[in-house]
Amino acid sequence: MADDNLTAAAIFQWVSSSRARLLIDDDDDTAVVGHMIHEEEARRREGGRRGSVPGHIVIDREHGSGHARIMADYFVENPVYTDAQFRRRYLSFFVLVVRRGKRFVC
Amino acid sequence: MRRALFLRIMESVTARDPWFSCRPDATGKMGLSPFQKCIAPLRILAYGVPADAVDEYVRIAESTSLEALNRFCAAVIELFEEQYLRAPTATDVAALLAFNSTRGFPGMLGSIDCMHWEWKNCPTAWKGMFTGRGKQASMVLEAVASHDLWIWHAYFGMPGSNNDINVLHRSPLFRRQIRDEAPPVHFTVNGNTYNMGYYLADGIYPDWPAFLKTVRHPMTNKDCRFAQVQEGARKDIERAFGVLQVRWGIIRGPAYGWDRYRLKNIMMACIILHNMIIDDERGENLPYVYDSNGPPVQPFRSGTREQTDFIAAHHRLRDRDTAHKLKRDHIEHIWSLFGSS
Repeated sequence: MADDNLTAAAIFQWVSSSRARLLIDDDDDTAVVGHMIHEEEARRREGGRRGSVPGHIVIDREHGSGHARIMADYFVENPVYTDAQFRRRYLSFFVLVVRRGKRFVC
Repeated sequence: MRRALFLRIMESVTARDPWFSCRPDATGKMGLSPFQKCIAPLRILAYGVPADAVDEYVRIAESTSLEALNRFCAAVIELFEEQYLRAPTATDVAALLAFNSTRGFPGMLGSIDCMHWEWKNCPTAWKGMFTGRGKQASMVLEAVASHDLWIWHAYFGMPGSNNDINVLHRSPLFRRQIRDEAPPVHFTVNGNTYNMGYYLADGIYPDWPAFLKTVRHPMTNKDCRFAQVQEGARKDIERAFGVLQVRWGIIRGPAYGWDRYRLKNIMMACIILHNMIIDDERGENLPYVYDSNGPPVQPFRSGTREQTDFIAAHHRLRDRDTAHKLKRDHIEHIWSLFGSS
């Protein structure tokens, strides 16, 4: 999986490392790697799936904990908050009382 | 919104748009759950908070919660507009007329008015077009509401420099009526029969038989009583706007979006959810229920209409004489009903 995810930057780094220089002493190989980098960049410009973006910070905000908290608060057998609290917090601040032909209290 | 209604919306939205389901990414790590992707947009709508503010509780990043908001609104509109923002069917019209006749307005289909939603991030090039009421750019919502705050018609997105008349002329409110596709309305008031329902409106609306306006400077007792009752009943729409704004923090404050069509989606989704909540929490002992509203309206006339019919319908809608007669009849009617009290 790691090999699949080699980015252009990683390939370039690999080429420029001293170990790589020992392995690649041929102009042809350098040209091949240059071509690979070129293709990789072209693929990125086209859009679609592009993998990780160098320079973006990645925050591990533990998605699962958000889900677990919502479930524990409202949607499990014995939730933290009551039905009335859920109802109030999600958009129903009004109870409408309508008596036919009479006054309407909101 | 009760828990059961939330779960129903969440399931429908997830079935409609697979983006909401919990999927693994390329490395096999699981993404956000449908609960997170639905709670985040609801919190943004209900509290009017920035997309970033839901990160701490829901653990959803800013850009993801914005995407969730847009997709949620689009899915709600696609799924529920047909039922919860439908034009009144024959059953609905009958129920509305039956209720409103007890208030002294036998042909009333609701109250109409406009509301502005300020647009903070309006592009500078459009500022002139969108600024008209006050100093900030805004967009106009035209709506019709009934006594139970159900919103029957909503037309949003006209630039804020338009007044209610301009918006009315662009709005599809009377489209069905002009095409003769609306359910028929017949009522008798003060001995005269009319064939067109009307909306209670305020002073700016034109003198059409489709609007019943108040008397501007009432002098006689009859006029005073009529003005009192009409203005009291027209308040339905003002209350509906009030409840809409209390319920949805995002409408209460200025709109921060950049794209006017996304803002339109947000507004329409709020209105549809508003109607869903009303429907969900309606008491058991009420005279009518909106769920079993019968089949959608079928056109009463098939085939192409003659151009002359179309023009005649236009003229009927704008007939000032009928409008004045309607108002006079209602003044008498209201006086006979409530005059003594």
